[in-house]
Amino acid sequence: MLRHLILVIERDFRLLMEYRLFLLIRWLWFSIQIAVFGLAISRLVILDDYINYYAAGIYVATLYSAAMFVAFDISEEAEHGFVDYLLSLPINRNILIIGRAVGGGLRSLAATAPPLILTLLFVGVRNPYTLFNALIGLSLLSFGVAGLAITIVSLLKSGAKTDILLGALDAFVIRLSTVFYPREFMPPAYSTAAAVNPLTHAAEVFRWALGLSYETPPTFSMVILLAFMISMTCIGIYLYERRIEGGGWTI
Amino acid sequence: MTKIHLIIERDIRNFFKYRWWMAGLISMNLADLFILAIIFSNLIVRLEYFEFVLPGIAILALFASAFTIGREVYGEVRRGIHHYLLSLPVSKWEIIIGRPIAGGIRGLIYSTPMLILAIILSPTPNPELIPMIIPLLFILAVGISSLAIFLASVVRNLDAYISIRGLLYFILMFSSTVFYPIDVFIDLPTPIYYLALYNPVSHGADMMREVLQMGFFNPVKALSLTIFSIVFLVVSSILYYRRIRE
Repeated sequence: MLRHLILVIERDFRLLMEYRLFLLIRWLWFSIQIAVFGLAISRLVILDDYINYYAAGIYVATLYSAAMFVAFDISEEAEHGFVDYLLSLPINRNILIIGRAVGGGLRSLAATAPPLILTLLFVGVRNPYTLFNALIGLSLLSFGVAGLAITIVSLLKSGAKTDILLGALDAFVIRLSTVFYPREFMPPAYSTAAAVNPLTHAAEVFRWALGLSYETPPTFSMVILLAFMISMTCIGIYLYERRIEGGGWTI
Repeated sequence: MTKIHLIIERDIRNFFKYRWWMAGLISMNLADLFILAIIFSNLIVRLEYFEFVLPGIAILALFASAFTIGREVYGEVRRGIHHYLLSLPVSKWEIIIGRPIAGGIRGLIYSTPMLILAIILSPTPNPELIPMIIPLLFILAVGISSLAIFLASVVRNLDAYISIRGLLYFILMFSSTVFYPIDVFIDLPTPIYYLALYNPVSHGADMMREVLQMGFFNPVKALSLTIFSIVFLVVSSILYYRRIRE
């Protein structure tokens, strides 16, 4: 059973290797965002040390986008009829589905490892223990977002609709979090939305670990991230398991 | 009689097939304006940031939509659809010139709601200058479409094309005065400063700000935008012509 699970996860990692050029460009985008946007905007804002604040936040946004990518893989497999092949394999369906959720989370962590290293080099690591805790928090976000992506693609069963919803979600989820700015500068309605946003909590934990300013107690953020990960993974697995069969996938 | 309008009409019809893509892009632009810009306004004290970024977002919308023509041109050349186009009773040059013009019109169509929003929310001290913006935005959009066609004509590998397109898009967007004034670039590495200084996206954003918020029109910026568009129109036309003749 474990061997089958590893096989499913390994396949997801192999898929990631097919996106080599795409990954390289993503890492370049990340560097440009810090080296151009981050540096330029930090000369305008009133916050001290904003460039480091921004670098930590933009890493969390990159991790979020990478974890969401599993939705595109699943919808593409369905569009090309590849799901039937996966279902015909001598692998228990639950193992297949759990493997996708775990693999999606793990590979997004792997895909964003170079930006993470760059961020750590740029900001500096002050305490390895807090950093270890933050990595757990970031992993929770990664698995949770992969679960959310699986939930969305299973509900919609359409490549185009998934594409649009994820694009719109990306625009609002990232901006309504503390990825770019602290909550104290947000209007009340935005601040409330940011308070329940898992990206906010991942960014807070990461900044705490890097010795930067943060607004929420790290333990509270970790609890929120754990709850997000468990709920999204369970919902994602449940929905994917129920909707993987029966066709109805559209472009 | 020239049949260039048929090529333009075809490309504009194709543009409306992307209505869901446009919906996604609109939500991105609105989120930039009504979330990002509003919150940064509380973080930035040396200028009215919301007012500053407003015309820039309209230019960003124009830039993103005008750039889409490159994707179509690349897809057509890759799948050999250009052979069908060449078999039509339309001359090669009508096809070649029609594409960037259509791209420019598409950019203008898409950015119109953002432009209207920018006009409504800006102080506009000199409203009689507003009609001058439209032709200049069209010229800029034609230049951006030509740049996209240039890229689609020179890059052969699909992965490389997608990657370079994304990278170019990001570089032009961030190294421009859409989000920040030019003086912040002085402290940044010199190549980034010069990129921002000569970036057509910067010129478009600055020109919009000058007309909508300061009440004057800068002919030097208009001239540089025109030169950019003519240069890329000529170069991309030659390269596109060579590519479809292969």
